[in-house]
Amino acid sequence: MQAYISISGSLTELERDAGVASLLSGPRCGSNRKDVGKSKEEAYKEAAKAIALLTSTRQVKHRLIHLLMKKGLDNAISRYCAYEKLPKVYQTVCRSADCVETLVRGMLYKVCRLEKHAALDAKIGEMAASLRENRDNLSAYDRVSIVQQFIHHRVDIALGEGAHTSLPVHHMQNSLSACRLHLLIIDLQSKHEAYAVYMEELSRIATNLERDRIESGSDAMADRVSPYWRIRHLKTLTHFIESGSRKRITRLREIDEDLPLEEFRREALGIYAS
Amino acid sequence: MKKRHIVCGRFDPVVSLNVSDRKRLSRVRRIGTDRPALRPKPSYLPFSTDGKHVVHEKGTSSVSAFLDDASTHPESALIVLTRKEYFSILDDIALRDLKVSILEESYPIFPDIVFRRTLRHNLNLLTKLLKKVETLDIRCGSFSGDQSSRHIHRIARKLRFKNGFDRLFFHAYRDPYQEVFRLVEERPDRVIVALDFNSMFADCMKGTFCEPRSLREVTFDSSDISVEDLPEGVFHVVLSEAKESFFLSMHPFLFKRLNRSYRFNLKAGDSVELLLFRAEIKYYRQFFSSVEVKQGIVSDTSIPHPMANDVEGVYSRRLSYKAAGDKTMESYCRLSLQMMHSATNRRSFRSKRFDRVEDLAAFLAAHFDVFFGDGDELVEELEQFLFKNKYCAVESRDDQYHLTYLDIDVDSALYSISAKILANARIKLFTTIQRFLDFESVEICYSNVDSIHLSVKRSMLDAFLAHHGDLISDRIGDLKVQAIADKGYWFDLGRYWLKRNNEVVLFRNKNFNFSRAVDPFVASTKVTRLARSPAFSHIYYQLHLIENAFSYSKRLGTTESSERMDFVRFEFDEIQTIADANMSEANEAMHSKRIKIDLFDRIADKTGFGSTGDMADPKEANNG
Repeated sequence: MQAYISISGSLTELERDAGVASLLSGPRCGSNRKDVGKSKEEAYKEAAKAIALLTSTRQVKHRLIHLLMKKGLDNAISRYCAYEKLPKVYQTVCRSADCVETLVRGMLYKVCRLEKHAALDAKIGEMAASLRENRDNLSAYDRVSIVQQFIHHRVDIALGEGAHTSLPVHHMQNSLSACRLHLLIIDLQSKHEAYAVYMEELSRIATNLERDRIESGSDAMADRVSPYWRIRHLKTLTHFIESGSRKRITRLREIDEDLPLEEFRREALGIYAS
Repeated sequence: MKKRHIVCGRFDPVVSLNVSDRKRLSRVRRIGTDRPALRPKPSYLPFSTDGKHVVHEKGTSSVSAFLDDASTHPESALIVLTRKEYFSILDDIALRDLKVSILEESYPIFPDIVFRRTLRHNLNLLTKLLKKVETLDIRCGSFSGDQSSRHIHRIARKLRFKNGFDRLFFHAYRDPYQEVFRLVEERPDRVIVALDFNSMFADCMKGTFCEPRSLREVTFDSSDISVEDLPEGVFHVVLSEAKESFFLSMHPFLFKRLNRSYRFNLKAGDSVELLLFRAEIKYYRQFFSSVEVKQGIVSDTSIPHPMANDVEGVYSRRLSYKAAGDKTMESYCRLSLQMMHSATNRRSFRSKRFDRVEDLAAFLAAHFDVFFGDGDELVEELEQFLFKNKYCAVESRDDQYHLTYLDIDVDSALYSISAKILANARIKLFTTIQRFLDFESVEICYSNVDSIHLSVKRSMLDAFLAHHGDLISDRIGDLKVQAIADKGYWFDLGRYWLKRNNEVVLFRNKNFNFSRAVDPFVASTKVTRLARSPAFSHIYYQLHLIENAFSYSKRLGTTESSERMDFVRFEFDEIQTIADANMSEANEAMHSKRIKIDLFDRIADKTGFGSTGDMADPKEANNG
């Protein structure tokens, strides 16, 4: 069976058919690309400013690798947003520690106009903390459905049974998609390597399983608008990372730290902005 | 040596007075405005808060209860006295999508506003000042909105009409003269004199202007035109063969590529092609061997600025309020004068959709006089042009490109007037600098729109002030001595410190020092940002450090002594493409960042005391 998730970031068959290429590379002049207008030389200049005060080759190396990792993540986030058609305004929230709280509060207080309560705020906080902790090792996809159920439940309590069915779909979709992105970011940045690897593996297995179910044509799928909907949402953030930035990190690691600082800087910046 | 021809356009090396649609351009139309008296006045609901409680006219309540109640009464406009109060309830405001005005921001004419812990006290002051706003009949919800609508209305009443040629004045060379020439001046035998012009732009509204209704195009065939005989207007000129003079390294022209600007040194023999006003051509031609005038947009009748008389009146009122100690009315007049010039320059945006990126590029190229390459270059250059562009932005939605762009054809703009004021200001500053340089031992350290900092031998100071006494007075357009110092440090435009006997006597530290900071050397600042969409609101903070705020658009020259360090401009070939310029700046950053931060630490005498500035204004990351 063909692998449907490609870590290197190249397109799968499915995505090519869906015309995802244009989404992944980002709208050319659109607002979703963070590095719009930044040429190689611009990147070189910014990095030069960042390392100008460093006095050892090792410091320079570490700073540039760190910058590349950060940029890689930025780009992955931009690509995710483009893929999910998530408006730019969500990008900053996804990185904040209290993203889930912010978005759930937004749905309840701003969209549904529920009355603000310290008790409800506390419940939201508890739920968000448990998602971040993720003791049951649930995938981001499954954790997001917990968020969804939480919102539905709260809306029904406040506005009457069944009220959740009239929630504005567009806002709900965006918020849940942003929550998932947030959880994917923390998963990727988790200090426990084993956890991050497990999450990656989980996503792969779940996707394959899902794909088998679709292809075997089981009845449960009949009413889905798009049978591939779930697959689309099972991807982890590594799927969105460019291969280029990894190669650059490897090349940076390999430069000889014994070179004179001046020469080292030039070579390292050259690789950084390549 | 090869003679170079350098084109300095508004956004790109393109200079064209495109008059192909002559019929449309010559159509006369009314200058757009509406009567200020008809402008709405908000009915305010003032309150004061500490983040937990609100004190308002009807009593005290909790923030939530007050704001919930207020959101059911959209007709009353909420207002607080200070930024501090606003920030303390930002989260609650944003969640409810309410708009709360801040008096010290919307009406910046009142002096000495501070937040007191007794909320009742703040409320009383706020109510009192709002009454004053009412008495002064300030409309539109803000002082600036009120003034600019009044000014443009007055101008429109006097001039009544303009024609389409006015749009071409948008492309006239418009950057003010602003540059840092020196990083350090500490030589013991020297003093620093900081001067600035009294109401520079208001003064530059004197003299003659084109009549906007009778603008027309003229072309010239031969280079044999007497500059003296040119009518009032803007001209496409080639200044040929620069002569050897101070002008080569201090000229006011910037090289533009895709909306980025670069300073550069001219070489003797170089030619410069650009759009200039008559007075500028007359002045700059002394530095070149010849001037070729190709084309012009002129008017045969010239007029005084429609508000020229008001300028004198308001300025003398300002002086009398100052003498009477009425700070509020003094700043009213000062700010009103500042806005007289910009009233003819109001921005108005339009939008347009494109299916193809090529069509978008072609439109922008024609509208803003920019040149884009083909193929891959096109997209890359388009992105560079759009990056941090104040005049246009593109979003891609539903497989289309949505462009928002400055409408230079808008009925309420009068570029023929505002561009001329900027040209006048440039000449005024530059001629003054030239005059100072003729005085023995004077060296220019810093100039920024309407201020000049120079260094002169200590023994020559009195002679210097006496010799230029005719320029220094209280009169509009004359110079005022802001400070005399013995040490000066200029890092960037808007970032300098002047010291006398080791005390700071004059400084600016843009984006870091705000009005109430005690320490003049604030080195980090926390900026509050608000991301808002219909589905959520998110407040976050960004920390800015001074070491990342330095710019590297000039090279720090090599000097034998650390008591004097100069900036020098890049050569033209170091900045002639964006790639070259970025590399030049990258190298400069690696060379001088350490020197600058060490210097800052030394002059600030940072020994670890707290240095976080006031919170800056919230910038909305996106309006959603």
